[in-house]
Formats: sequence, structure tokens, C-alpha cells
Amino acid sequence: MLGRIHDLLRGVLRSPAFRYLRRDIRAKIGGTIVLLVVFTAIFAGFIARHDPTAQSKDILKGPSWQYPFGTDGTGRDVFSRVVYGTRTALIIGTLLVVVQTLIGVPLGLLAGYMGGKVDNLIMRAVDAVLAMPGLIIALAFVAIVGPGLYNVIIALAMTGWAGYARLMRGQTLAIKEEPYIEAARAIGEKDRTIISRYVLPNAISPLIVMVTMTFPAAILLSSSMSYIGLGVMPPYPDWGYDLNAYKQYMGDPMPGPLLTILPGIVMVITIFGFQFFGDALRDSLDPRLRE
Amino acid sequence: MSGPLLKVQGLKTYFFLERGVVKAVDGVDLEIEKGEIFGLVGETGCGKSVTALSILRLIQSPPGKIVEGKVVFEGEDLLRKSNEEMRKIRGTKISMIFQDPHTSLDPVFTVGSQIAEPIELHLVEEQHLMSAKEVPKKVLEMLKLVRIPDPEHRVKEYPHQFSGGMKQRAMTAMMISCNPALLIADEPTTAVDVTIQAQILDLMRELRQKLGTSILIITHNLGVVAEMCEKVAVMYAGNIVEQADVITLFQNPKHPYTSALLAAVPKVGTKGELETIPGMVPSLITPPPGCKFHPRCPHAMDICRKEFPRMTEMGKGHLVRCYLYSKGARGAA
Amino acid sequence: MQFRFPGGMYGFILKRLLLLIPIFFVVSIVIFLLLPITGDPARQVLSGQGRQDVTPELLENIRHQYGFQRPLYIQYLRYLTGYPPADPAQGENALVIPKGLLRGDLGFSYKYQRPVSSLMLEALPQTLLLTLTAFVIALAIGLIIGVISALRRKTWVDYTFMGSAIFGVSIPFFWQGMMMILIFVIWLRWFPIPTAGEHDLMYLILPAFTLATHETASLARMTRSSMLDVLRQDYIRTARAKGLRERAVVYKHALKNAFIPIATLLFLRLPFLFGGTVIMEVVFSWPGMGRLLVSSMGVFGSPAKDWYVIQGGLLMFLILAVFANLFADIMYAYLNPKIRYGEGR
Repeated sequence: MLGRIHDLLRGVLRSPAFRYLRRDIRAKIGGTIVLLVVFTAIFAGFIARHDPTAQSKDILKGPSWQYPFGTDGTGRDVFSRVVYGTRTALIIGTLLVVVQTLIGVPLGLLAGYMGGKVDNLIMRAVDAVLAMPGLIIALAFVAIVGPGLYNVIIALAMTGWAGYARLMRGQTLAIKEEPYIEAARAIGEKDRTIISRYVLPNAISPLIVMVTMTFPAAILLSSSMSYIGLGVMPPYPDWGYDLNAYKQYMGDPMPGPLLTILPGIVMVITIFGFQFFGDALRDSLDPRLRE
Repeated sequence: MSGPLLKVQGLKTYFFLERGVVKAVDGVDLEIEKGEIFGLVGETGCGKSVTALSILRLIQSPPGKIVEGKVVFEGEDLLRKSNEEMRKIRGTKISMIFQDPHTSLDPVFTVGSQIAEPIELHLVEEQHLMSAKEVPKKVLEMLKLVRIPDPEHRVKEYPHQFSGGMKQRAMTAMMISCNPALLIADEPTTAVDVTIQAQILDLMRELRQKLGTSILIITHNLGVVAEMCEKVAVMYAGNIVEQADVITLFQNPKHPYTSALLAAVPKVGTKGELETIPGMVPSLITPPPGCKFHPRCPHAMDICRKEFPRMTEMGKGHLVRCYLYSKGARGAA
Repeated sequence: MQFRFPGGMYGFILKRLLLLIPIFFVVSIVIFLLLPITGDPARQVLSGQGRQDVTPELLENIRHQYGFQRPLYIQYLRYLTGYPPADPAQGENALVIPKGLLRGDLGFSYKYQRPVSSLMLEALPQTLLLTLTAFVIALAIGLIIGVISALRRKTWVDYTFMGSAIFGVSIPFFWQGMMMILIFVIWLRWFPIPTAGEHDLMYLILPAFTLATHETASLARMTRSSMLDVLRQDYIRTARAKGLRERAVVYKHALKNAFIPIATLLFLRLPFLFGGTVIMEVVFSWPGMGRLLVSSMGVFGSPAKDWYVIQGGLLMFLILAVFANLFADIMYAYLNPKIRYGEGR
């Protein structure tokens, strides 16, 4: 088992895709940012100086050694809130990926592999969902069931799975035609073996790109929803929610506006990091672009 | 102007990639006379298409580059010409028909308009041989020349409405419309079925006969070579290894590679296994030292592994690049 | 007698248009079910109105006023056609009983005390104005940037443009809006403070440009990608082999081919753009359907949930999305000769 993982890792590290990534500056910068964010999320307890929900008497103070981003209207350390916000962001992203994968990948596999009426039916549904304004539907859903971290994820996944399904279907269709699939069938392998052993591993690479790209989208959308008030709610620290709370200080003299500027910059950099890395990843897996 | 129509000397075209430098064309010499049909043969990847594209300077740069050589056409070195001068030669003095007709035509323009383009540009605008009003007539003329039925209607149609053979013929019409002195045909028969093949080859012969067009046919199909060409050159891994008139080449091949190629073609009545050439086509990034064919050659000698052989003249324009025939190895000239 | 579908573009469009009918029904059913799905629509309506004093009698009263006691299919019929009409004998309140979607009735807004349809009629043009302005700006700038980037691939021009583009798609709408307000309204004072209800040019510029930033970046990336794909094609090599001027090769052959997928994608992005518009309307207090929708969803400023407005707003946006997709399909059919002129003989 360990040996197989070892082989897999070696295969990845030797692949032309990985060599491309190592040289691509987008991967380096984006990758560094992603790693930084993940690190921050995991070790938030150590990086943040204070309890993000702890109020104090230091109200609306500017950035200082003690409070790197200053404090907000109730004396909470903004920096700590932003740091813990990375956790929320990554949790949303990860859970969204999981749910969308669980729904979209099997459906896409089924559609691509079965073809015919099944394919037709599933693709009609996918097309319909893809045509819809995802954010608006998510907002409506949350309006009905109420805000909250998990509701946000379900709301976004409701339309988000379609992209995964379509991708998997495309991949499955392409792989289905490969000679080795025909050979597998010829020696009598069962359908589900074929799918799990041959189709799935080969369809993984574009899926990985899609997974990477889901994170920036998740953060963008969920923070927007939280800003409006239909997203993540306290006690989970969320960038969008905080920014909405801090917008009242924009017109004040400094350090008021910093409350909206600094956390926002962190948010943008995070999203950018994933986006940048995702771009490089996508190009690395594209054989045409490797020359 | 006397002398050959096209004289290629020491042409080297390399592709500079991440994994190394691909020496696609590594010192090629060619001469094509006026009105001659010349065949360039070889396996896939031997550099024949790149040679043709180099003549027209259509090499994608980066990553490709013509690093050395001369391409003398009608007495002038094309490699020294400016881009603008080169453009005025393409499509009118030298034309090229490409291999895959399905992807070589623009899908969003009518066939008629695509055929009209070079005519409008070269004959009307640049050479003042025609007025703009005469162009539609010329387009129809060309369609009739390549035997496309119902040309008046076909002119307004789009490529996807043409069959594969018709697309090939339409492309031919496009490229010969401005009376090129040299027509390069890259695998003109590969993508079409046998009956269309015959038509296209007939068409080319007609062109040569009526207009004196020289034709450079690039192919891996020895049957086409036997039928059409007067002179043939065999390419391997970026070099020409043998050149002769067609009869001599087929009857008296000298280079081991040529013999092997000819032997590999199944003939009617052949029984038993197909002859193959052992080994693999060499890497163009790190070709074998000495003669590039030596790892697969049944007659390989010591010197073949060390030094790259030069061309030996065997008389009557028969050239071979092999130590079996050069002074160094055997003594006979 | 067999009915043969006309081929070519008209057949294609006809098919799409006919599909609108079942789509409309599905959408209407989904929207209709929003309220019943919550379990107790009467309770939802009451809590939406912010009423705390919920007694069983009040619930019954409201239930009858809104006609929730009727079987579901009757309610749907009402929702669609307004039939059967309100029956005062059962305690049904004619004001709040649906009068039929097909008659243009979208319900009654508790908060604004007006028919939802009249609210939407006012708000729709504003949303369209904002969205389409941003769309046009993004189109103009994004296409050009994308083409230039593709032609100057791997030069500093390309890197600058594409680098900016990646940033452009990484900035959340609402934060960018906030920053725009900070810089241009608060600090520079070039633009007026976003005020509810105002929709003059000066109030339009900031949200439109904010929205356009993201879209421009996206379009630039897509255009570049499409151009590069096309420039790799064999027929471009053929064009060059004909001796055509580089100008003709690029702007005639390459651009026209690259434009087809872009034109289609443009319209397919509209639903996403509408999402952005909703956020913009909230941030800039722009009087469009988005702001109407959000303010009826029971958030910070106004905890009351106005159900019919939610339904109506959602319906409007879904219809817009459907039409955007229809246009995308038509665009594709028009531009692609394979569909426009049918398959070959």
C-alpha cells in the first residue's frame, strides 16, 4: 500500500506536468500563497495574537505591534479575525469541493459511460442548472432555510455540481473511446471495474484543476453572501461578514477605512493565489501548451 | 535565367524546444528544374514537410528557425528576402497544397471567397494582370479546372458542405490560381481515397504539361512516386540519403535504407511476412553519431559509426550518402 | 402526414423557442414551490412580516387569507392563472390571493403595499441598464485586450494584461465596490454618495465600472485563449501560404473564427453577471431588482421577509437567464456556418 503511494508520487513528480509547474512562475507565486493560507488556517491559533471574538477597550485603534490590523468597533483584533477567517474560507472551499464532487462526478461518469437516454437526461439537467444564476439561487435558498455555514455550502453546491458533472462526462466520453478500454472489455472486465480502474484515474487531471478553481469561486461567492447577510454568521469569522460590519467606518478618518482595506487585501491575495496556481496547473496538464 | 528553378543548399532547420534542439532538417541539398516533377520520400518525421515549409519560410518561429543554408529560387536566395517580398512569392510564384484538406480550409468563409483571395491579392493588386471584375470568372474557371461539378453553386458554399476529395481539389484550385512556377504538394494523396487520388495526380500532370509548372511531391507512398516523378530524393532523419531519377532509384537502389523501403512495400503476389526495417527512427535531438542510419543498417561498418558520410556521385545524377560507395571505404567511385 | 422539422438556422431557433414553453412551466413550478416547501407557509408569511405574536388563530386566519388551505394543485393553478378566484366566504383575501402569472400578476408586496409586478416593472430597467452598461464596456475593452495579448504572446504586453486580468477576476464585487466608493466618493469626491432610488448617470458609473472590471478581465482571458487556439489551426497556415498580408490573416481569418465561441460565451456569462449586479445594487443602493430581492430576504437592514417579492424577483432573474441562454444559442447558430447553412450534401 505504501509502496503504491510511493510509486504514484514518483510518477507525479517525474511527469512533464510537474516539471512545467516547477518552472512556471505562476505556480511558484500562487503555490506559495496557497501554502501560506493553508498554513495560516491550520495554525491560526498560533498566528493570531488574540481571540478573534474577544472584545476589549481598545476600540478602533490603528495598526500596531499588538494589533497588526488595528481593532474594530468592539475592540476585537482585526488581524486575528482575518487569520481565523482563512479557516472559514478554506472550510467552505473544501466542503464545497467534496459535495460537488460527490454529486457531480458520479453523474458525469454515468452520463458519459452509459450514453444514450441516461446521458441525454443528465445532460439536460446539467445544461439547465448551468444556465441559471448561481448566486441568486443560492441567496434565495438561504433566504428560505436561513443563513449559516452549512446552508451556504448547500446553497452553492446546488448549482455548482453541474460544472463537475459536465467535465466528468466529457472526460469519460473521451476515455471511453481509447483502445485500452476496448481491450479491458474484451477480456471480460465488468463495467464498474473499468470505470474505477481505468476511467477515473485518467480523468483525474482536469478534475484537479476544477477542484483548485473551486476555491477562489467559493471564497468569492460565500463572502459576497455573507456581506449581504445571507451567508456565514457569527461565531464563524467570515471576511464578507466582517467587511459589512466595518463599512460604516469608511467615511471616518484613519484608521477607520483600514478596517475595510486590510482584510480585503488579504482576501484578494488569497483568491488570487488560488487562481494563479490554478491557471498554471491547467496549462501544465495541457499537452499543446507545453512547447 | 538558366539553371535549376529551385536550388536548396545546406538547408538546416532546427526547433528549439524545452527538451532539446530538434534538428528536423540537418543539411539538405535539392535541385528542381523547370517543369520537373520531383519526389521527396521518407517515413513520417524524417523532415520532408519541414523542408517544404522552410522553402516557403512558413516555419513557426519560435520555436523553429532556419539556421543555415540557401534556398535559391529563380536565381535569388529566398532566405535573404524580406517578409514582404516573401509574401509576394507565396501563393503565386511558389504554392503549397497541404496534407489534411479538412482542417486546411477556413470554415467560416465560402470556398469561392477563399479561392478569390490570392487572385485578388496577387493577380489584381500586386501584379496588375487582371481587373477586380474578372475575378469571379477566374474563380469559376479554377473550379472547373479541378473538375468540381456545378461550380456556380459550389462557389457560394462553405467547406463543410464539400466532401474530402472536393476540399482537396478546392485547395488545389486556390493554390494554382496564380500560376505558380513551383507547386509543392505535401502528401496530396494521403487523406483521400483512390479514385480522387488518381484525379489529383492527373490534374498535376496536366498543370505541368500546360503551364510548365514544376512540382515537388512530398509523400511516403512509393506508388505515387513511381507514377508521377522524374527525380526522387529519399530522406532519413533530416538528411537526403539518396537521390536519382525514378527508374534508377527503383531498379538500382544503392542506399540500404532505400532498398529496405522498397522491400517493405507489399507487392501483388508477395507471399510470406512483410519485410520491416529493424530498430526505431532515431531521435532528432540526439541523433546517432556518424551515419544516422547505422544502428539499423545491415551493412554498418566501423566508419559508419564515427563519421557522417558525404554525398557520393554515382554517375547520371545518382547520389548516395553511404560509405559502401564512397572512396573512403571501398575504393570504387 | 409526417411533420418534418425545418433544417438550418430557422429550425434550430424554432426548436429553442418551443423549448421555452416547458422551461417556463418548470420554472414556475419551482418558484411556486418555494413557499410550500418551508413546511408552514402561513408561519413563514407571519414571521416574514415580523410578527411575534403568533397564535394558532392568527395562523389559521393568515392561512385562509392567502388560500394556503387549498390543495397544492389548486394553489398552483391559481398561481398560474388566478383561477379559482378569492372566495371571501373561506376567509380568502383578494389582495393577496394570486391573480395569475399568465396575467402578469406576481403577488402583493407586504412591505411596499404594492403589486409586485409594478415594483418589478420599475426595477427591471434599472437592473438591465446597469448590467448591459457593464456588459458593453467589458466587451469593448476585453476583446481588444484579449486580441492584443494573443498577438503579442509572451511579451511584456501580454504578461501585463494577463497579470491584471487574473487580479481582475480575483477581486470580489462587493469589496471592489467598497473600495471604489472609498476612493472616488469619500476621498476624491468625484461622484455622489450612493443614495437609494437615484439612478442618474453619475450614480451609474461607479457600479457599472466595478461590474465591468471583473467581466473585462474574464473576457480578455477568454478572447486570448480563443485567439491562440485559432492561430494554431491549419487554415491559418493556409492563409499565410496564399501570401495573404498578416493583417488579413489575423483580422479576417483568425478573428472571425475566434469570435464564434466568444460570442456564445458572452451571453452564457450573463447569468453570472446578473449575480454580480445584485451585489452591486446592494453596495451602491442602485434601485434595481437585485436590491429589491435582497431587501426582501430578511437581512440586516430589514428583517422582514417579503415572500411574493422574493418569488417575483427570482422569477424575473430566472427568465432573464433563460433568455440569455436563448440568445447564446441563436448567436451560435447565426455565426456558425455549419448550422446556418446545414450539413453538406
